[in-house]
Amino acid sequence: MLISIDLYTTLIPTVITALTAVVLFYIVSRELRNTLAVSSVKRISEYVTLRCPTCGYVKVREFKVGDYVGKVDDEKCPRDGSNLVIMGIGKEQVSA
Amino acid sequence: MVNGSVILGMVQVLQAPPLNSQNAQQYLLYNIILLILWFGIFPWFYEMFQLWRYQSQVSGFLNRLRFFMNNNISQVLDFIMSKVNEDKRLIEGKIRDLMEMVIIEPTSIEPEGLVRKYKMLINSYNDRLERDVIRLIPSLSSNRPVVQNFTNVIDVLRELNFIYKVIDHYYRLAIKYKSYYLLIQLAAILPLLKEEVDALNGSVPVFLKGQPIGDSAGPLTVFRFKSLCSNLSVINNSVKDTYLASCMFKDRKVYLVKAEGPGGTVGHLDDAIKYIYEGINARPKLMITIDAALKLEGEESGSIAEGLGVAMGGIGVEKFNIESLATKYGTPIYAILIKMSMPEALNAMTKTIDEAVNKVVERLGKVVEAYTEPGDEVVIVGVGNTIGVAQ
Repeated sequence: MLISIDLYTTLIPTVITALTAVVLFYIVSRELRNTLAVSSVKRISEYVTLRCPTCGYVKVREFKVGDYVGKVDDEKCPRDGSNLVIMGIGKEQVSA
Repeated sequence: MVNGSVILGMVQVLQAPPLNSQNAQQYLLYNIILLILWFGIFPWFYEMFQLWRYQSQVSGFLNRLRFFMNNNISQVLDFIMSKVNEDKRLIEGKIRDLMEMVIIEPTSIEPEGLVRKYKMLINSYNDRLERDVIRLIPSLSSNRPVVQNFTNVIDVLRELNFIYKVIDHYYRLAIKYKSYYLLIQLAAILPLLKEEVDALNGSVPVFLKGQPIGDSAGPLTVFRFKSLCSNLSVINNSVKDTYLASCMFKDRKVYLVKAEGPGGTVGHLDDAIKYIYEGINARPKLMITIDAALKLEGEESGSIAEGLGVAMGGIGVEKFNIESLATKYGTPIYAILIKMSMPEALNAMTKTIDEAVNKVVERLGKVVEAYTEPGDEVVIVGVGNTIGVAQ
């Protein structure tokens, strides 16, 4: 059976529609993937690095408001009992 | 050789009946309509659609920026209301007044003394802002670091407000005059502005909490370098908000300069360096400046670059003064840069930058050893906002 397909009225519009659908699907799926990827990342942890000024013992704990680098913390060194000093404050992304 | 079927086709065309006058008129009309559609209506539709697209992009950006500003003002208000017992609307009005504060640049028609004028203007601005913050929250007057941090917050809000007003101005102009090209220009710079606005927006809670930011990398380097030195002694000086100390490192006398923390300030590093040369009469053989620098897209965060010259951002007043002093006394200036993006520079310090600071401290020791002799004097300057970093 012979099917006649007109180039301008049938074939070209069909190809253009199909291409548009493919491009739209790609864009939407990419956006969706990005959104899902962002939502699955990870809370931000703000940490404080403490160091014993005498023996060099290092400890990391969560940041508290009022912490600053150079602050002599209330926490004592488990080795020699000296007060620990805050040497760094930073943030990093960790798995939720 | 011409194909036989082609000749047959040409003959058929030539033998076709001529158009009568009615058909010819219809044919002409059809072509005119097509012409108008292609060159009049379609481009107009295209331009209208593009105009609508850019318009929605810019208005979306403005809405987002307005939301950020209102959200930040709410955070600031919550912070203030926890300290004072006043009418919330009154306080909000005062904050909005501070956000509208204008700084008029000195005229550059006559450039003589322009740097001194800028310095005076910056100092006046900082003093004025601090006094306004204390007037807003009198209970903070005894807690200078929090006042300084709050001053930084007001600075951020001013910056956001300024961006909003400028973009809104051009947006309204573009709509008023239906200016397609003005909107295109606005839409073109939106990605860059979005990055800046996100960075500024994220910095408000960080400043309120008093955490070190990426820009604190310079002062943090000086703080950590102190642990490598011996005989540390703080030099009392009259330079406001600036820490100056001397210590011994591998038989070299090292002068350490940074802004005085943990409040958010950049200090007056040029005045402190002037004090080293003209107050203490020291003659350093080398000056090393350490600062955070904006990275290019292809560069990695936390990468380190070394070079010559004063590593310092801003308007350039302090940079000019330090360069002048170094030139006057013939001191070579060495620079160490820690690369980071703008969001990293303005937000809480990331682990990458924190680790980069440790590497810079190591490098700093090597540079001092390599370029000076035992007995020499060296100045190390930690450039940047010292928020969350004491001394």
